[in-house]
Amino acid sequence: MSNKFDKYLNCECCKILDKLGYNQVFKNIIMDDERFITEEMKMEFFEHMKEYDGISDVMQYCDSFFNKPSRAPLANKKYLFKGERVDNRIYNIELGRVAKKMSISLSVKNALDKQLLFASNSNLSDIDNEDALNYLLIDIQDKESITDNRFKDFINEFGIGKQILQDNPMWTFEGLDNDDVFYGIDLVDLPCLLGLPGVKRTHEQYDKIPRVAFSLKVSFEVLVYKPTSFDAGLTTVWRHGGKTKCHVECEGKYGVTGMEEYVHEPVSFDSITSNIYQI
Amino acid sequence: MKGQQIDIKKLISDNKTALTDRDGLKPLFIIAERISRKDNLQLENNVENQILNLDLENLNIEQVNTLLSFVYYSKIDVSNIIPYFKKYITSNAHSSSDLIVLKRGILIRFIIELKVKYFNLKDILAEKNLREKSPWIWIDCMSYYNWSIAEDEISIQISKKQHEFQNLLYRIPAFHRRIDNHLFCESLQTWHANLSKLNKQKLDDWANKFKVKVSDLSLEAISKIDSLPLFQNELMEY
Repeated sequence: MSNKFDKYLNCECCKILDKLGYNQVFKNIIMDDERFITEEMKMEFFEHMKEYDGISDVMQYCDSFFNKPSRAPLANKKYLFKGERVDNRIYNIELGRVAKKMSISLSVKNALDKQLLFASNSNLSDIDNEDALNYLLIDIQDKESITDNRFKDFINEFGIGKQILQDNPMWTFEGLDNDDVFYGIDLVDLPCLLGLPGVKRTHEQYDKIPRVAFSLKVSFEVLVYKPTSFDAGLTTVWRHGGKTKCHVECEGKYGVTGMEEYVHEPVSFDSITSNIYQI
Repeated sequence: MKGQQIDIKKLISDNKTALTDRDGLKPLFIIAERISRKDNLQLENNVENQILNLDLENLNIEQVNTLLSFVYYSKIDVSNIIPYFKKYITSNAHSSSDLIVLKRGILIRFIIELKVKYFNLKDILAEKNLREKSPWIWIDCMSYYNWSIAEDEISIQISKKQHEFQNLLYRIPAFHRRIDNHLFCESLQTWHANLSKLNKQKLDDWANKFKVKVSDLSLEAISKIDSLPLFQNELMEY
């Protein structure tokens, strides 16, 4: 690693994170392409780490850097979406998205609550929302036999199509086929194939988190970028190069090439083109 | 810049501005995930203490919803939290403010769903303000105690505006889970009979989508058979 950052790696915050197994995060930042993550930005990150007060939750403290300024809209965030802008080809192809089931559950509930609270002073409880979602989500083994787009019907019925799926950056990937992002992929392998993190944002227990997968098309007004180390933040599984890096467990099945990955502003519910599959 | 402790009040309020992880979870719910693993008692205790020091009076609806979602997904020990919620519910029992009625309602519903026996049928029947101002929250609560009363109230609500009907559609799986199947199917038929043609079709479609097996016939067909004069009915059975 470059020695101009070595002095920072001995700061308390960095030492704590190193001890917890997050050293790869610093490597990612230091090695990042300085056409996009400049030396000055890297310095700002490490200065932030140096100022750690010793009593805060260290992960939340580190996360707060990437979110600066905290109240700014995404387009005005200082450290996000600084990678290479992707060309307009991206708007003509289907992209894949894997999210935590909890995240989709909360997104749907929030979207419906907005409608229902306004219209009828009502909202849904989490437990009832999960019941409904469990019926809308498709099990992998039923993927081929279910021909209707259940989730699209639901979005249309409840009028939440224009609502944003989540408030903040989304990560998506490009499949082997422009019209079928899951072509050649066993959906159950997606967390491994995409190299997704576990609950501690490391490789550990990456396959123990309930997740869902779906395809979407990004609309023209959404800007799409190649991710940088600052977009990846405090996760140890991400690597440079603009492609996903699969976990070693599925290298034999899918090889090590990886798939093109992207980060972008959030899309709306009606950007989803497939059913939502439980994986 | 000074660092920050985990600040639950801030995380509940800043839910919109906080960054998500790659899987789409906000920091508040990443913390919920951590607590649900039950391997960090210190974190759980810290968060529990913060919840017990929240001023529920000054939280808006969105913040209360977020708080309850957090408690739900974190599976945090609620043995101290529930009495704290109950205190708010009791001390605001006579308020007629729409906001307070709704806040009380979703807190009552949350406690009932956890199967904590703080309330009974009489308590819910006495919640007249809730029934009037937030009927679907009241229905959710009543559905745990007396389905017949809940069904009647649903019939009243879905005969009103379209969005009231949507409240029912989305609740079908939840009601189906907790009410006896036969009873629920009868309710579907009852509601079906009083709906517009469009809504009848929707109820049928969504009952199918949500895998509620009313019979081998659609609700529409059942309704038509039921409306046949008796002797034709007998012929069909024959």
